[in-house]
This record gives sequence, C-alpha cells and structure tokens, in this order.
Amino acid sequence: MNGIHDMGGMQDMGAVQYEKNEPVFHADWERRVFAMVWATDTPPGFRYQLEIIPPAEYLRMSYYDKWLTAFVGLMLKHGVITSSELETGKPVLGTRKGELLTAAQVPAELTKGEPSLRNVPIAPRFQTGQRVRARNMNPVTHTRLPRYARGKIGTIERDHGVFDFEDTAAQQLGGKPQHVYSVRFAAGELWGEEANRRDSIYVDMWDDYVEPA
Amino acid sequence: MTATRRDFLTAAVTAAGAAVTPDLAHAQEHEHDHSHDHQVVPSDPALRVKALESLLVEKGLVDRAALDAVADAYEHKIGPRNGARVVARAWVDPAYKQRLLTNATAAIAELGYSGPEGEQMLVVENTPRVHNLVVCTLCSCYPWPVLGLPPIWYKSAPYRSRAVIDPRGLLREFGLQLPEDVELRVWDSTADLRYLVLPERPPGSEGLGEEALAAWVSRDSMVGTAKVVKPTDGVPT
Repeated sequence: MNGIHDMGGMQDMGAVQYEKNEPVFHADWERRVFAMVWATDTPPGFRYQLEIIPPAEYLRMSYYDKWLTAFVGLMLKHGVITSSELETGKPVLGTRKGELLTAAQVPAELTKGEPSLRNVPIAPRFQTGQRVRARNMNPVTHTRLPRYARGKIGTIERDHGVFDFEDTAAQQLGGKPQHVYSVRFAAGELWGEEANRRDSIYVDMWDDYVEPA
Repeated sequence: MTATRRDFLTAAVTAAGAAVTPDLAHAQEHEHDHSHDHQVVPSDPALRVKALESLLVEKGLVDRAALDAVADAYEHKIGPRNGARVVARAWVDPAYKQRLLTNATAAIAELGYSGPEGEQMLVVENTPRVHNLVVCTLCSCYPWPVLGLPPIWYKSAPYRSRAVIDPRGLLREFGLQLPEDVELRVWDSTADLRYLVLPERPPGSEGLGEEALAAWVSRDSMVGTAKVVKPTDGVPT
C-alpha cells in the first residue's frame, strides 16, 4: 500500500532527534505492549495493521502506541478478542484462540525466532550481475517493495536464497516461496544526476518484484 | 543529534498533550453512543494496556510471568553489547571474520546470539574505501539478537525518509563527515534479512584484547551512523 509508512525519499521530516543513553523502554506500558506482542500467538498481518493506521495518526503516535493500536486491531480482526470483551474486560466463553507461552518456554523462544528462509529447490529467475528493473506495482495490500525503487533499474548483487513471500503471507495466502535478491541501485538512478556518484542503495527484493531490464 | 534529554522530554510531553484532546472527545462521544465500532477503552495508553493485559491473562492468552521474562531479557541481556562482542571477535580473529562475512547467521550463533529478528543475518564491512549504513524505510527492522531493540531515532520519520535520499547529510547530522571519495552503501532492510555493520578497527586499539575492544564498539557504529573511536568515558552507546 502506498501509505505513510513507505517514507524512503520523503523530505522535510525534520532533524533526527537523538536521545543520549536512551532506555530500552520509556514507560512501563511500552514494556508491557512489547512483551504482549512478542508473547502472544498473533495471526499474520501485524505490519499491515501498522501501515493502515491513518497517516496523520501514524506520524503523531509514538512507536509503541502504534504497536498497541495494530495489536488490538489485528486481534479484533481475527476474532482472538472481541470489542465487547475489550469494553467490559470480561472474557466471553469460547472465544479463546491461540497457544499460551509460559515463562518456562521464554528462554528457548528468545533464541529461536521464526526463520522464513525455505529449503525449497526453486531455480532463480535472475543471476548475480544481471541488470534488472523493479516492477511498477501499486498493490493496496502489504508489500515490501518501496515506492522509491519501483520502475528503477538496478543490478542483482547477491542471491539470498528462497524465502517465504511477505506480500502473500500477510494476506494469509500462503508463503509462495521464492528467491530474494539484494539489488543495488545507483543513487543517481533513484534521485537524479545531482545524487552522489559514489552512493548506492541496496534493496532486498523478492523475485516477484523483479523483471528483466 | 544535539537534542538534549530535556528537549526530548519536552517534545514527548507536547506530543502526549496533543494526543489527549481528540481521544477525550471520543470518550465523551461514547457516553452517548456505544454503537461505534472503534475503540472504547481508555485513551491513556497506560490504562489501555493494563486493561488489555488483564483481558489476555483472563482469556489464557498470555502469562504475566512470561511477559516479565521477555521484557527483562530485552532490557538486560539482548542489546548492543552482544554485537560489540561479535565485532571484537572479528577484529582479533581473521578466520572468524571470514565466517562472519560469508555466513553471518552461523558465525553470530557461534557466540551464542540468535533469535527473533536475527534469523537471517548479513554483516557488511566498513573499510577505508567503503562505508555502510543500515535503515528500514518501511518500518523498524533491526537485528535484535546483536543490537537489541532499536532506538527511537532509528524508527523515526526523519531517519527513515532521509537515509536513502540524503545519507551523507544525515550522517553529518550524526557528526560523521564522510570523505567525498568514500563509497557509501545504504542497506534498506525491506525483506527478512537483518544487517550488522562491521566497523573499522580504530587506531590506538593495537594490542587490546577482545573484551577491551568490545568496550570500544558503540551501537551506532554497528548501524553505520558513527565510527568506532577510543572511548573518552565509560561504555559508548
């Protein structure tokens, strides 16, 4: 979706606000939100749920405020919780969906993660060194192809292997495993001839984003 | 970059103040009309979170002790000191460095670091000719097992928007002036790979052991917004 989250290349967002000795969390509720999202058996689509926060809200809200909004939105959408439960704070019988992570399981989970690299024998459509074009596409759903790269010409620098495709996974359409490439774009190709000739931007692109140049 | 803690807090308070008004308006609206589909829980995030947590606990979806264990791990165990140890090892052990640059995930796991947002790692090396900078323009992707959770600036609109279009200007704001003849590579973490910058070993660090070297390595140097320099006081961020 061409949302506010896709902000690479936008201008006038102000100076970077750097906080020295920044704490990991700035309030106890941030700590709780992070841990809840981490520990809950959440359906896919969390990133998309962040992306559909209305633009003005997205820019105004703090990071964990966005997480809270997206988390609640996602669980309501999938019926893990209901709005009446949220309103009353009382669980409705028969609505529990998802596995419970216990404290005893946490240490192992902290080292595990969820690899999306897939051991599937799929031939790459593109080779290292090949000139390619990023597709011009504008889905209204979740995508990882930033707007600034679409339609631009780059070079395949590396083949990372076969990964699940986040675009389809976010829509619960399955992983659709395919190669992911590191594609190098010269800054001049993206931003025009005034860009520094020694600058490049590397974008990790699923096969479905790539076409021959 | 020069914003003080107080400036930051002022900004945060202002933002929080701005946030309250429309939500209060909503809350009052709900006194009269409960048919709306949108949120009816309290507007203060602390209260909303408390209510949500109680509900999830009652539903058997979360365990409070598990939440504490998770938060505690990211506050005290999983942070940039891990990445600093990886960097220091690479500086003293050429064979390790080679493994790190060819199979980062496995080399990082050798030191005991793995987990969410570090499932597929890549390490990019700074040299006198090449400087690397990491960003996630679309969100906040960051290599948690080696750097912990990202600082606010990394997740902010100014950083995400400018890192790809004006990286040298952005680096100047961080106090890093890149020589004109140095090649700059910006890595936008758009997919499921997570990036760690291997900074250059600084002059003056000769003869130091691995542990002492690790204490020199800042978080920012592993994102690419700083170089490693001899620390003036304490452990750098």
